[in-house]
Amino acid sequence: MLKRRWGLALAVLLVLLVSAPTSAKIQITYWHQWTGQWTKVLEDIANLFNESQDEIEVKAVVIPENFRERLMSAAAVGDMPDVVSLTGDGNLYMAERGLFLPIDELMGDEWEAFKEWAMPVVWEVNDWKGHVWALTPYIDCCSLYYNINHFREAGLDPASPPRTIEELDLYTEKLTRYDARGNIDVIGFYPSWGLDYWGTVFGGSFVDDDGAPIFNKDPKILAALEWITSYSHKYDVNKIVAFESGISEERAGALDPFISEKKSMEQQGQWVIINIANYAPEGFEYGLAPFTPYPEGGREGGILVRSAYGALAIPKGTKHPEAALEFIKFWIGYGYEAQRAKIFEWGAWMPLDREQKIWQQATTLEYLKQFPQFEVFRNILYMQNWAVMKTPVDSFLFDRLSAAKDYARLLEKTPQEALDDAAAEVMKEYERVRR
Amino acid sequence: MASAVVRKRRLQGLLFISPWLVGFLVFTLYPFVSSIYFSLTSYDVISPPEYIGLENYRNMMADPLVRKALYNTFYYAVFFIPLSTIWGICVALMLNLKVRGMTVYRTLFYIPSIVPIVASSMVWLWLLNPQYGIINGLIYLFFKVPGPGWITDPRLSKPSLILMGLWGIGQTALIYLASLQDVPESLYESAELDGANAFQKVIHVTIPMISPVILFNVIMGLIGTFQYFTQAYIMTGGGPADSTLFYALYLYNSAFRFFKMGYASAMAWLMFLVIFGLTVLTFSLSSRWVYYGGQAR
Repeated sequence: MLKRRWGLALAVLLVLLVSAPTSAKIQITYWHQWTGQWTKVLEDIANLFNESQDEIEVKAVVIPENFRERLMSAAAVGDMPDVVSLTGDGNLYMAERGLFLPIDELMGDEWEAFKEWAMPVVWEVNDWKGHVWALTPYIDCCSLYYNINHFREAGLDPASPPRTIEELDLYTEKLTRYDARGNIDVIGFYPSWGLDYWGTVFGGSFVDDDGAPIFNKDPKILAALEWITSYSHKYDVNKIVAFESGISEERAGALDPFISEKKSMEQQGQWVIINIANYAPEGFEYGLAPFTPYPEGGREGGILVRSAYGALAIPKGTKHPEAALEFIKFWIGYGYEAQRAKIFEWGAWMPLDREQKIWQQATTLEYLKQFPQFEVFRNILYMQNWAVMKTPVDSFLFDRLSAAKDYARLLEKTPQEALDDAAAEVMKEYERVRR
Repeated sequence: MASAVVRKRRLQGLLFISPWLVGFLVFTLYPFVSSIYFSLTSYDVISPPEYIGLENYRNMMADPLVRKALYNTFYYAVFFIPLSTIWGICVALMLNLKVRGMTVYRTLFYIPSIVPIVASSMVWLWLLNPQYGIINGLIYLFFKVPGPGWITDPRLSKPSLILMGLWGIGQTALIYLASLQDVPESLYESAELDGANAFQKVIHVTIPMISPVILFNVIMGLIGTFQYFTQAYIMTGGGPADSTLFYALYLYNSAFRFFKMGYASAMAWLMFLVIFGLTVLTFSLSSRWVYYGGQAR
């Protein structure tokens, strides 16, 4: 009796095993860091890719925290995903250490055609030591958003946003308001973003071609930091810091200081168009300057591009490099223009094809009708006036640049001292890595 | 020669503790020992370690950020440990009073200890917010002056974190409370007969009687402060202007952000030696102020 039961159980198991659906498709894993509402968007991208494929299936896996640690641990034990979105820094360091496959080599004969199709920024930022280690599917452009009602109340012409740093400072004085306690209630403008961004707008360079720090010797970077520090002198450092800390934790969505009308002007990326549409209060009117104001000798429409910005890489050790490459091509839109147009719509990730064919897709045209403000960012994008910062010590560099900005704006050091100290620290780190 | 039964029981015993044993060997002893080796290497986790002798230790001595991190950590320890001891004993003494509803008060003081650090850090970020925080709101309400910048001011960022640490004193206070209840009532009665007032009873009876517990809390506090990490990681990220760059935070950054696992291992060993040294020092000095009931002084 017992034997018969065992036999029956075995037979059922065999039937189940045989009838289990088996996928003949190549399965690849894609790691990214987009959390919250964005996880679903990335899943949709993976699904869209899967629909377009007969032989490949990608699975998007969100790594919500400690992405770097997870990636390093996976590398240490040789259990890497097939594709990763590199949204942290340190990517060129990892590339130098052989963590990724060279994409230019992997593309073979197709590489030249690809370079004809894509804007150089797609590969330039990860072109390092003779190879391209990752491809960038989008870059973010910035411009100056301004509150039209605040402009009117301050007697400023909403049709004439500031175009230079001098004008920006002048407008800020007129737009800044204080509360009964003497605190800043609404600030016209404050350069919240890092010195890396403002140094770029001012036309400076942070590293040389080999990635060694040179920022303390560049008068344009010094001018940028002096300008940031001027706010601490002009508006009282304690009041500025108090105001900044009040809004620094609430940058996203409805609590974005520009959307919540705590800042009359703010330099921001194209994604804020969607945030304003979703979260702005009734009666909120805004305008967009053609580019972020910059000083004489600065970079018009300047964008800093770092290797970190969402670049897609293929870790060494993947069993399916061709499949992984196909997914990267899909994300960028190379050969997948219609699908890439949808991705643009889903996440405001502007495509980077030279001929702007993706911008001509029906989906995109419809989207642009709904949000014509994207044209401002499209113009900035195709100015191609970006600065690419490439160094294997970018993690340490950004950490020290942030500290240098703090020291200067809190008036703990002069801007030159802050830059010199940071550069000395970064140089030491650079020399260590180069050894 | 052990008999077969003894051997069998030994084996059974080992089998029963094997889950812990394996965990200890793999997750504690192995990393502990291997970190000695890694501290002598240039190691970034993604490529094989390369032996460099004592270079990491030499670099540490010349690293201004290590000095800064050590200063911040010592600053925190020097102020937090005595303040948490005094405040912990004060809270325990108050919670030891015989008044109605004491269980409620005890619960209230203990609650902060069970709030996850991440949650309490976020709450304190807002409490200490210079412009919108309730603390500065109250300062303005009562004194009509603007409050300070707290964690946004490099001079006040560490005191702010100390203040926040004192809020979560419940665990320590609970241990003091337990030890207070162990002080024999007869000693207080004798002191009263000798004419001691409440303050004198605390100084001459309570403190000596709970001094072993104070020693325990001081040592645990010492270890805890040198490993201070989470609040700084969440609330300040080491800023403003490196003022909250604590040693453990810089160690973490070195290991996982700056690809310097070998250097971080050397930093970990320095931290271990500092904690070990201070613990030994505290123990050796303890004979001067710790009173053990069962032992003649």
